Amino acid sequence: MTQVEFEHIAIELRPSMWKVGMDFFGSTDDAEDVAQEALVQLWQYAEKLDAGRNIGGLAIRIAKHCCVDMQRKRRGNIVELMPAHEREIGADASPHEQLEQTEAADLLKQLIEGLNPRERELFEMRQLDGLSNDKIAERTGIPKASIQVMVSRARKKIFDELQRKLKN
Amino acid sequence: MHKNEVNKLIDKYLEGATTPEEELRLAKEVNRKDAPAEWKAISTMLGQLALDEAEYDEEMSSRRSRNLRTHRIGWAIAASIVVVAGIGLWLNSRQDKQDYECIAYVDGKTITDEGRVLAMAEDAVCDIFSNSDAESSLYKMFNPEE
Repeated sequence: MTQVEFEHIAIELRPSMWKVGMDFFGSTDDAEDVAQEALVQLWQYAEKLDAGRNIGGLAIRIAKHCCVDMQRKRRGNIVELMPAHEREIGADASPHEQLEQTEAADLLKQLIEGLNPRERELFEMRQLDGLSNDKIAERTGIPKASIQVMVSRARKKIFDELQRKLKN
Repeated sequence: MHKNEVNKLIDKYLEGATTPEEELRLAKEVNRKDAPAEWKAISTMLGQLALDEAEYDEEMSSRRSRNLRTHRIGWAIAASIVVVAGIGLWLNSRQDKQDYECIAYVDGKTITDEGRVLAMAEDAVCDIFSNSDAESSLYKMFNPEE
């Protein structure tokens, strides 16, 4: 997707992302921040996006992620101001846990890159776009049973590798 | 959700047979603080978008049920006020009725017919004021035999 195409789509998607933020925070300033951050993140996915992908669905998921992430960071700021013995109760994840999560996410990216193009596309349509097998079948023309087989194969490959590497 | 149910859902996920809704449910379960370490790989695979979407949906849903509960409590309080006010009005009207119960003793007889008692009282008042000597009229009224 080119930047011009993205800008065109962004105008259509921004109001629904803004609404997700508004529903969550009840503040127009926060809703603006959510819409802005979500668009930046959506642009990072844009090179993978084509006509068959559920861009609207992905935009909403990213906006929801931005809301939760913003709230998490705010809680984190509050936790820093708390006395040390109270921090564990309020903290969502310790720095060590956060590092582990980041490493695991990087590992997942590598493993997805290692899939064959068709498996990768189907895995991401399920994981990123949140599409069902039926919807993917409609969009790609691949029979639903074949989609399920390919998604399963991709997931099992990644799961086995992740299990092995996370244990080490 | 019970651990066995989560494990079944994990198997279904690995078979590629879960719906997006089931995957959000799974994300919620494997993202719990007390989730077993063996679910870590699934949590990573579902990805941060699914985990956060599950958290967002759960928070919005709990806010909605909190709002609904608050509304219900509000309605319950309003309904209670109406009931209490209704009972109060009803008791008050009964009290009013009792206050206005008419009993007249005329020539040794008890009369409780409200219309008749009022008519007789009105006639008596007219008699008193039609006569310039109110004192003698009252005397006549209470001493009819003289």
